[in-house]
Amino acid sequence: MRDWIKSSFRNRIFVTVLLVTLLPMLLCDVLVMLIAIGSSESLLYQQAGEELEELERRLDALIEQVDEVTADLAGSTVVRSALRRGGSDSKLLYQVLYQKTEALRSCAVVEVYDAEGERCYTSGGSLEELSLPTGLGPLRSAGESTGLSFQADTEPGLVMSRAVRTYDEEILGYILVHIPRSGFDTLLGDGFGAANDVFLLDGTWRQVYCSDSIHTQEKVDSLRRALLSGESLGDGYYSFYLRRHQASGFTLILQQPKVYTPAVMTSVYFACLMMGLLCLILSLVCAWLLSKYLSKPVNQLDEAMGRVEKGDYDVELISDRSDEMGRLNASFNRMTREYRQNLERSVQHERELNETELSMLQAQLNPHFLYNTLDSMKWLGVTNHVPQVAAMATSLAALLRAGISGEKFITLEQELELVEKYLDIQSMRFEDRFTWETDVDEKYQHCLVPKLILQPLVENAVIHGIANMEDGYIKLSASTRGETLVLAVEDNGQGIPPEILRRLKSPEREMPAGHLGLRNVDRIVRLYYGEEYGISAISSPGMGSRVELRLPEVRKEDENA
Amino acid sequence: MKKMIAVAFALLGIFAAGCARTGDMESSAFAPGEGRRLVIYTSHKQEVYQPLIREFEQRTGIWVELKTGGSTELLEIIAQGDTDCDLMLGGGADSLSAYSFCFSPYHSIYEENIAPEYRSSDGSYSPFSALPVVLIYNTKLVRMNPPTGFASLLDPAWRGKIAFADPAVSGSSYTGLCTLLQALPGDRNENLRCFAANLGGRLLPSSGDVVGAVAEGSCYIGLTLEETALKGMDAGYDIAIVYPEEGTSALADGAAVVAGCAHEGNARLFIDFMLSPEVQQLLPEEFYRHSVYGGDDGLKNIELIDYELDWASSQQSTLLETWGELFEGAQG
Repeated sequence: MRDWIKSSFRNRIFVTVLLVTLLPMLLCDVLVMLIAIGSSESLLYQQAGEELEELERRLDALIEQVDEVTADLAGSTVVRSALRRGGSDSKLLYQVLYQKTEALRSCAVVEVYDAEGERCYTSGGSLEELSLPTGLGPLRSAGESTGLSFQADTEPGLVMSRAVRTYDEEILGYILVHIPRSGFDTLLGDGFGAANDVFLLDGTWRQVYCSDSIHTQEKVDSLRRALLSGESLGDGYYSFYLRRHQASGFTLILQQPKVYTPAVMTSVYFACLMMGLLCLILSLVCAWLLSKYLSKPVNQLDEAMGRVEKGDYDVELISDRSDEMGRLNASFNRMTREYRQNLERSVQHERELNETELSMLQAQLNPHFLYNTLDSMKWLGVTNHVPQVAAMATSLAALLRAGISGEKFITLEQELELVEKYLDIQSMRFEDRFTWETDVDEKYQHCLVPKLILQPLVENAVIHGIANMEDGYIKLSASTRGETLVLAVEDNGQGIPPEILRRLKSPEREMPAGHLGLRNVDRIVRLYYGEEYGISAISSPGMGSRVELRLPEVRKEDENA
Repeated sequence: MKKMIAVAFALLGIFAAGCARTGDMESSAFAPGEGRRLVIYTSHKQEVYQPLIREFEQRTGIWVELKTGGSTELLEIIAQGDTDCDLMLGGGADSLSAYSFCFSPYHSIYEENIAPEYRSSDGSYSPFSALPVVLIYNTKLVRMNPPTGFASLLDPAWRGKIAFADPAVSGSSYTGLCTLLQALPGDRNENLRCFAANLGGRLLPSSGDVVGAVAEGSCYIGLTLEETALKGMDAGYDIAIVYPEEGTSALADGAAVVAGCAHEGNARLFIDFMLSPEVQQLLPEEFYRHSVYGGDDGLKNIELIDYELDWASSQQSTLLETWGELFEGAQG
């Protein structure tokens, strides 16, 4: 992966863009979900707290009311005297009972029991014979307490009891207030959300009231079991909010259906996941396109460079950009263009050299034949006692040998020898009508020069300079001008015609036939050493001429090195 | 890059933690401490244990956890030792004494009040209530000459009309059979053979079926516990109870504290509560049972034999084996 990222500029951009776009999106995705769940849960929590408070308030009010009513009844002399008298027919007691319990009767039944546990009076319907044990249940707890005592009724409901005592604490009877399920429904029914359920459990979590009428006992039992085994009361579907009711020691439980049930959570997770996937796809597409767009010029440049490396110099980057990439492209184009031109130039040089070489090779056939012939002539001259012929043939043969030898460069000393041979021949031909002089310092003798480079200049001086003179004079000299070796051929002949002189100075150096020697020398020197080298001439009609050949000063040792 | 991945994982962690949060309030604050708990195994019916346990909880504030089942089944669980049970409530005195090795002896503060015949010799169990064996008959079908005692069960006149549960299955039925054998004069084996023959091949699967079988008329007379019969009468069945003239047994059921239990103190509190005068007084009124105090008026009027508990225990396997053979013979 790391290698893949590092392998390309585009991959780096791709991964960076992917992370930069994906992470914030995923973050938002998760945060939105967390905030949605959190806020909804805290709202529900708050709601449950408020509802529990309201329920507690109502329960407090009820207990306060019952406490007041039962205390009134227990303290009433009518009740006491009726109980002391016995029987269940005291009209006065009924009057007091109905009067005191008026506010309670909508949700509660108030009953009066005698000291033996027989029911004597009731605010409810018919008075059936009923007796309760005084040693157990509500009557016992009432008897043991001076105030109001609370108990879960045998049928679901609440029973509150208070003993009626004489002034010397003797128990005359009991007042019981039953609040059945229906009573609680009236009392608490609108105190909590319709979807919620309320449990009122006694001190050991036995059911007093449950607002849900179906499977009530099972629910209470399972809550109690969960509490005792230390498990969480809540399951995936309901949250439970608990509050201890201080006055009675009972526990109020609010059961609230969860908004985020497992099924809802599954779909929330699913939605979140889908959103995440969408983010991923979007980011991938964005990263892909952006990385492609950004890396395109770099890739183009890279590709073009690759092609250049493989030898394709015709690559041209077309771009209308004016930024750094645009400038880089332009630079690249400029570079390849220059390279291309250089290459073309060097190819041209090579071709010309080859052509010259070829023509020289072609020319080698004749010199061989000529050389052999000259050799024969020399021996003919010797045997026939014509020494001039022999000398001429020897010089010519030496010149020819030099011409066909494979070496391209020779020392100036050797070159001067060849020139001397040439001049020997010409002096025989011109019957000694000219003299020559060589003025080359010893230090230049080992300079390397192209083979037979001086001969055309000397030939030019002889043919076009002093040919028609009786006392011609040719001087060869060598000097240096900086790093440049200057070889000069001077004559005192008729001079170079101005036309030729002009052409020699022009860049093309086109020469008419007969003066090709100068041009060739010039070309050879320029091809070998560069444009700054070549020949130049000074001349005026009738006053002779001086032709200079400029070469780099290369010594034999340097060449070897 | 690595940091980014780390941040992403941290966010996922927060996300998971957020999901784990629920709206529940801390409920453990409402759970009682170990000192306020008691685990009871009971073979009693709900109408017996529920008022007792509610009252006990109300008085003491101790939270009772309950497991119900057959007495033999529960005793077996306790005997295996791997149990959280503190108190075994229910089971005959004979069964409880058979498993006395599982129990920690306790002498209730009301021990003095208990009639000597119901007290356990070693205190391994405490008696709760006395359950006499009685005869019942259908008052519509039997108008003349109702049964008078165990002898009637051997009377060929009732052959095939007797409701009796299989003693191999029902503990109370076995007690009834032993009472019959002990109360009747003469050879017990002969009487056993005679009684088996007189059933005429009819044997009810459960002691609970006896009252029903008599009330609906498929049987004329039956042998069962007084508690069951009284409940049936209260439910409006046309049956009548006959206390055998030969005398009958009134075996106690009881409760026992499991040895090495977690809440022994609370278990003892329950035994004291169950033997308290208020509860004992309630037994005849509310539960159709007799108090083990002995001062019970109802029990005084019943002729009781001196039930040989040891014989009944020691002979159980042989007796039931013989019974099985005889009954198959009678069926055949």
